[in-house]
Amino acid sequence: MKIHHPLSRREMLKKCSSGFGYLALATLAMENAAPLSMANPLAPKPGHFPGRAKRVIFLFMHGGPSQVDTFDYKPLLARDQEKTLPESMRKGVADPSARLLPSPFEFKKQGHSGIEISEIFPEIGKCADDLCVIRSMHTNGQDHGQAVLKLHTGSETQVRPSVGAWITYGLGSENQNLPGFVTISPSPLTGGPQNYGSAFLPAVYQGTAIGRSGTSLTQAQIRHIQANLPPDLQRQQLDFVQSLNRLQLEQARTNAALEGVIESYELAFRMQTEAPELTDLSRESQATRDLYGVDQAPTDDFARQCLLARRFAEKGVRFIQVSHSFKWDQHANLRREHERNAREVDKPIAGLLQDLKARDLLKDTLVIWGGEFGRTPTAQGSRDGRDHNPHGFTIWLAGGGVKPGMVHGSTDEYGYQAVENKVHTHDLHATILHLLGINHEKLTYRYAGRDYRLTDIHGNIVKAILA
Amino acid sequence: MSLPKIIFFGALLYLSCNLLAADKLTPSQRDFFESKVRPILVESCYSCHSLEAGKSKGGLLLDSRAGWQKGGDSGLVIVSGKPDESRLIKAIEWASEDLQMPPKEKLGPDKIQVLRQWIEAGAPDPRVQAAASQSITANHWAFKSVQVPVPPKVKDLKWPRTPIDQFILAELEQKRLKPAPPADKRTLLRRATFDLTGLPPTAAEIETFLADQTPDAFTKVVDRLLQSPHFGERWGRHWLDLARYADSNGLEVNTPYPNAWRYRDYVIKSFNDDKPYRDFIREQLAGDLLPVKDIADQHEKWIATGFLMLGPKALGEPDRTRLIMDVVDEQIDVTTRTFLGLTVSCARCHDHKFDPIPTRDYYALAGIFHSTLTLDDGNPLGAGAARAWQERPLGTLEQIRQQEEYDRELQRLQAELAQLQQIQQNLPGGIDSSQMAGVVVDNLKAEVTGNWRASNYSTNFVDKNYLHDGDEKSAKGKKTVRFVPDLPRAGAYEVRLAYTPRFDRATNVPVTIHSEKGEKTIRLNQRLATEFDKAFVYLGIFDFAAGTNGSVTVGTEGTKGFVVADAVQFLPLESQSTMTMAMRSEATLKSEGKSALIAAREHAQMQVKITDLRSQAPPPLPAAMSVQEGKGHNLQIHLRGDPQRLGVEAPRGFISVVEQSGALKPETQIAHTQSSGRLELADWIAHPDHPLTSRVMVNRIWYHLMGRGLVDTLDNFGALAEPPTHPELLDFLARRFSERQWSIKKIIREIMLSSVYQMGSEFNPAAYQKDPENRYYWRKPQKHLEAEALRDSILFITGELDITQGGAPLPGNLPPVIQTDALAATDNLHRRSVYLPIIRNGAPEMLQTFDFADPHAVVARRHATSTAMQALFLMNSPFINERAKAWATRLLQASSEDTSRIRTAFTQAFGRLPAPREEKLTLNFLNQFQASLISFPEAERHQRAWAAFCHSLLTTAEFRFVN
Repeated sequence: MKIHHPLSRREMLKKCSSGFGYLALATLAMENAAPLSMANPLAPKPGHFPGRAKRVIFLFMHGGPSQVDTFDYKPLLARDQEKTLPESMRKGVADPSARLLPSPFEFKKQGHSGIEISEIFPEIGKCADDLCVIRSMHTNGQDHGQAVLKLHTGSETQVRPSVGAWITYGLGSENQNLPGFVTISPSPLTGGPQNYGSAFLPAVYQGTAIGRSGTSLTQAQIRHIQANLPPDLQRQQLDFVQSLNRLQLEQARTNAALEGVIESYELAFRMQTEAPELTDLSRESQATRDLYGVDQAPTDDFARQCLLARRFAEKGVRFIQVSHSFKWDQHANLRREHERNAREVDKPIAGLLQDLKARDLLKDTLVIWGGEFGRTPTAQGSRDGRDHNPHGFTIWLAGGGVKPGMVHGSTDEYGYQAVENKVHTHDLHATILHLLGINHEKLTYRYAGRDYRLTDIHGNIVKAILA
Repeated sequence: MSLPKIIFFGALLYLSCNLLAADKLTPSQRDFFESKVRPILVESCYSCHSLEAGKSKGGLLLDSRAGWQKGGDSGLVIVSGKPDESRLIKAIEWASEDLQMPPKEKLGPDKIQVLRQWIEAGAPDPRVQAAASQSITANHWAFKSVQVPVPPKVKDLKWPRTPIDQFILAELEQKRLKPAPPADKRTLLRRATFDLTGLPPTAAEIETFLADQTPDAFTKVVDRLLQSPHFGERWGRHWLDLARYADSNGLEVNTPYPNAWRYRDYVIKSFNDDKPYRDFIREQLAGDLLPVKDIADQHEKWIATGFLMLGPKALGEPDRTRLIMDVVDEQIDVTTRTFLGLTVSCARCHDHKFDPIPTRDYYALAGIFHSTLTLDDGNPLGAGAARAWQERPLGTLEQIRQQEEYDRELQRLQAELAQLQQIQQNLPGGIDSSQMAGVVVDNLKAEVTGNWRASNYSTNFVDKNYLHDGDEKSAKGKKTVRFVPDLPRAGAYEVRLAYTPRFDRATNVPVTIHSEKGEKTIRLNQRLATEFDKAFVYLGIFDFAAGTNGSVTVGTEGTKGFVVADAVQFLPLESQSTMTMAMRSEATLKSEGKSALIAAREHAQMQVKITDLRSQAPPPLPAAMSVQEGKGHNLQIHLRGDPQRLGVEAPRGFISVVEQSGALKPETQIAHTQSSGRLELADWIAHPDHPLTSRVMVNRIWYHLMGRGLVDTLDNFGALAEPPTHPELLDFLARRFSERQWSIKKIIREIMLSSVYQMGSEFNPAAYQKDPENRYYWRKPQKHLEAEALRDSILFITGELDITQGGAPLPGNLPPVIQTDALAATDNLHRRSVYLPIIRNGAPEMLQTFDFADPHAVVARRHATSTAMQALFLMNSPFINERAKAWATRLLQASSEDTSRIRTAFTQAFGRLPAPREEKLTLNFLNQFQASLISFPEAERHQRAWAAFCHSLLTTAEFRFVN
C-alpha cells in the first residue's frame, strides 16, 4: 500500500485538522524511515490471509451457564437421577458423592438441523440453523477468576493482553473515528479491566468500556466524550493548541511522537461527534427496537447492549463484547435463575442474529456466545443447583465463516467431561483468529525479550467447523 | 570449560549404571547402535529431546550418552541392562496412561524390541559429545565477570567531560556521527528537574541558573536536585514499577493491602537516603533476617520485605498447594527479573526454551521461597483483623488495646444478630400478604373445590391460615384450590407458591399454571423447605394477560400424604428491586400480633448497628506486610508444573549458569540448612562480583536518564537480550557502581555531568540516515512525561499541589473486597501521584489513561503512547478543567498585563519564554475566543478566555514532552 501525495509532510499535517488520512500519514512515516510504531497503530492492516470474518461480537454469559440445561441435552440424567457418577468418570471430580440431577427443562429439536435446545431459549431456538454449537469445550480454572481470565486472555495466572486487544493489534480498525475494541457493560469482578486490557501491548489496543455492569445502559458513554465547550469554541481552542504544536514540529523537523499527539486530538474531536450519535438508540426504528426487546421487561438492558453491538459492528469496530454479567452462577435456585437469565437474553440475542442477517452483516461478523465454564451434571447442596465445571461445556458461534446448523464434539453421556473432538479455550482462540485471517502462531509481540502470542504454545484450529 | 555443574551433579547422583566408555565399544556394538538405535532416536525422540531442536522436554536429552545418563526431571530413564526397570521402555510401550512416548504415535513393535535389546546389552552409546547447553550459554556476555574497561581514546578532545563521554564519542566517531550541540540552559534545567524530581523548575530556579555563569553551575543544580525530598518520590516510583507495588491484591479477590504503603514509603526514603544498593537488595529479600540496631531499624527491615509480599495472589484458589506454588512463582519472577534481569518463571513447567535455566534451578529457588512463609491462614473475606498473608505488628500498646475492644464489641453484636435470626426462624404465625410485593392471592380468596381444612398448626404461612386436604384417600383428585390473580398489566411474571412443609406432606403435588401460552403442570415435593419469605417456592416465569385470565391450581390427583395450598404470588419481572417489605410502625405491628415482622425489624436494625460499628473501626493496627522464616526444605521438581506429579528433588540453590560461567561461586551451600536460604540468596544476588546485579541496575539508571538502555531489553539480560550497544561503558558503570559503595546518586550524578546527557535533542537528517534509532546517542532522545509527572506538574503550576510526604492512601474502613473502580476517582486528592491509592484493576483514572505501569506485573519500561482517550481526558475531563480555571485565576491575580501573564504561563509550563509569534498567536486567540463567548455573561468572558488559554497550554505536545 503506497500512496504518493504531492503535499509535503508538514503541509499535510497542517491539513490534519480536516480529519483526513491516517493511512497516508502512516505511509509517509515509512517513507521517512521513522520507526513503524509511530505510524497510526489503528490503521486497518491485512491479515496473514483473507479472513471470513471481519469483526467479532462476543456475548459473554458471565458465571457459567449449565450446558445440560441449555444446549447439551442429556436424557440419561433423568433415567439415572440420584445416582452418583460412575467410578470411571470421576477424574477431577470435586465431590464424588454428588448425585446426578436431571434438567428441569425440556429440550426440543429445532430447525432443519434438529439441534436440541432447551425450552428456556425459545427465540434462539428459532435461529438453530444459524448456530454452530460446540459441545466439547474445556478449559482451565475451577474458579471464576481463573476461567474468566483464561477465556479473555488465554492465561489464568499471568497478566496477558485480551483477545480483543490481540485482534485489534493484528488487524487495526476499519473506523478511525471510534476505538477499535469496545466492551459494553463490563463487570468489575473476576479480573475486571484485565479482561479487556492490553497488558504489554500498547494502550491503544485496550478495550474502551461503555458503561459497566449493574448500571443502566441508557446513559452509558465513552469516558469524557462529552465536550466541555460548544463545538465551535472547542474547535477554536483546539486550533490554537494545534498551531502551537505545529510550531514545535517545525523546529523539531521530524518527530513522529509529536505528530502522534497532534493526530490523537483530531481523532478525539471526531470521536466526540461520532460516538454519541452511535450510542443514541432512539435513532433505530420502533420495529428494530421491538425485535431486540428494547423498552420491554425483562429484556431492555441486554437488548440495548445487543443493539449497540450491532451499531458498532456496522461502523467497522473490530471487536465488540457484550456482557450478561455474573448472573449465570447457579449453585442453587438453578431452575428459577437460569430461566430468568434466559428470559433476559433470549430475545435480544435472537434479535441480533436476525438483524445482522437482514443487513447482510452476519456473513462477516463472528458472533460468539458462551460463559467461562459449564456446570456439573450432578447436584450441589439444595438439589436445585450445580457446581462449576471446566471439563466440559458448550459455547456456540454464528456467522463469520463458521458452518451454520451444526454440532461439533460431545461430552460423555451425562455431560460432564468433553470426550469427542475436544476444543480447549486455546483452540477456540486459534479458531477465532483463523476466521479473521490471522495465523495464531504468527501474531506475536516482543516483550521482555520474548515473542508472546495469544495461544502461548498451544492452540489447534477447529477445522471441522469452518464453512 | 569445566564440566557443567548440573551434569556433574546428575552423574554423581545417578551413576548406578555401569558406564560404557565410547572407546570400549566393540565394532558390532557400534554397528548395532549406528544402524538400529540411532535412527530411531533421531526420528522419534530428537524433536523434543535434543540440543539441536533446542528442547529437553521433561528435562531429558537423548542426543548424547551424558543426556540419558543424567536422566530427566522424573529421574533415571535407562537402567543399563534392565529394560523392564527403564522408564524409557515403559514410556515407549505406553504402559501407563500418564507416560506415552512418542506422544503422537506409538513406535512399532520392532523398534521397541531394538531399544529393549540395546538396553539389555548395557546401552552401549558412542555419542561422547556432552550435553553442552549450559557450557555454550555460560559464555553469554552477561554471565561473565564485569570487566575493567579503560576509556578509549577519541579524536575530539573537547567534547568529553567524563570517561562516559569517551565511550560514547568513540562509538560516534567510529560511525562517523557527531554529537548534537549542547542543550540550551532552559532546556537542560527543565530536563534535569523532571528527571530527578518529576516536577518542572520554578521561575526562580530558572533565573538563578541563567544568572550563574560559573563553570560548575549545572553541577550545583544536580546536587541541589539530588538533595530534594522529591528525588525519592521520582526514583522510588521507578522502583515501585518493578516491585509491582499496589495497595490491593487484584485478580478476582481484590482485597485491600492496608499496610502496603509502608513499603512504598520505605522505598522513597531509601532513595532519598541514598541507601547503598546492596543493602537495599538484602533488606528487601531478607530484611527480617538481618541484624538490627534498634526497634525503628527492626521495623524498617521488616517493612522492606514487603517486596516479596505485594504480588497479586489467587486468593480464591481452593487448592492451597497450588496457591502456595503460585505465590512462590510470583516471588521468583519479581526477584529474578528485578535484580538479575532474567526471566526464570518459564522454567516452572519446562526447561527454559531460550535461556540456560533448567527446571532444576527453578525448583532450587522455589525451595527457598517455599521455606518462607508468605500466606497466613486468615480468610480475607472474613471479619476482624485476620488476613490471608503474614504481617508483623508495629503498633503501640494503646493501639492494640483499642483494636481488642473493637473486636469484642463486634463479636457481641454479631452474637445478638445470630440470636435474633434464630428467634425469627422459630416464630409461629402468619405473614401479612399486604406487605408483599407483586400480587398475592391467599387461600381466603381462592376458589376451593372439595372439602379442604383451614389450619394454622405449622408456622410461616400467609395471612390467617392455610388449607390442607386432610390426606383423604377417597377424595384424591377431586379436591382443588384455584388461585386467580387480578393482574394490573400484561407481561412476564415470576410465580411462587406458598405451602407449609412437613414430613407428612405429599411429594408429588400437581400444580398447574394456566398462562397465556397454555397450561403447564409441575409436580412439587411439599416435604422440601420453602425458599422465599419463609413460605414460598419458585414455580417459573410465565406470561399473563392483564386481568383475571391466568390461574394457578393446586390439585390432589395421585398424591400420597397431605396436600397444602396457602397462597400464590405473582411478581412482575421488572420490579425485583421493590420487593422489600414496606415498614409499618412497631406499635401497629404489635397490636396486630405480627411478631415475625417485629423480629425481622429488629434483625434489620441490628444489621445497621453492626454496619455503623464497622464504619467506626479503629484504623488498622500499624503492621508491616512481611515474610516469616519457615522450616528449610527442598522441593521436588513438579513435572510440567503440576504439583501432583513430582520428579526428583531439587536441592535449594541459586542460578547455576552464573556459577558455571566462573563469575561467582556460592560461598555457602544451602541445600541442607535449617533456615530457608533466603538470606544466602540475598547475599548471593548482592555479591560484589555478581555479573548481573550491578549491570542490570546501572542499565536501568542509564535508561531513565538517557531514554534508552545500553541493553535495551531492560529486564532480560539472558540469551534473548539485545546485545549492549556499548558493552564497555556498561561494564565501566557497573564497576564504578560497586567501587563507589553502590551509591545510586553518585552514578546518576556522573551520568548527568557528562556531555552526552547535556546534548540537545535536535534532529539531524544525516545522522538520522545512519542511525535512525539513535542507538549511539547522536542526540538526546525526547521523552514523554510519565503519568505522574504530567499530573503532578499540572497541580504544581496551578499552585494546588499538596507536597505532604508519605502515609496511608486508603481509608481504614474499606470493605474486604474492593469494587475495582471505587477508588479510581481521585480528582480531589492533590497529593503527588506516588501517594495516590493504587488499586489493582482500579488505579486512579488519569494514571491509567497515561500508560501507568500495570501493578500486576514487573514493569521495567512503560509504554509511551498518544491515544485519543488521553486527548479526551485532557480536553474534557473535569479534573483538567478545574486546573485550568485555577491556573487562570492565579495568573490574573499575579499581573494585570496580558503579555506578562502570557510570559509567566509559558515559563511555568515550558520553562521558556514565548517566541514573538507565539505571543501574537496567544493574544489573537484570547481576543477571538472572548468575542465568541457571546452566550456567556459578560463578566465571565475574560476569565473564561484565560481559562481556555491555560487549558490549551496543558494540552500542548510541548507540555507532555521533555526535550
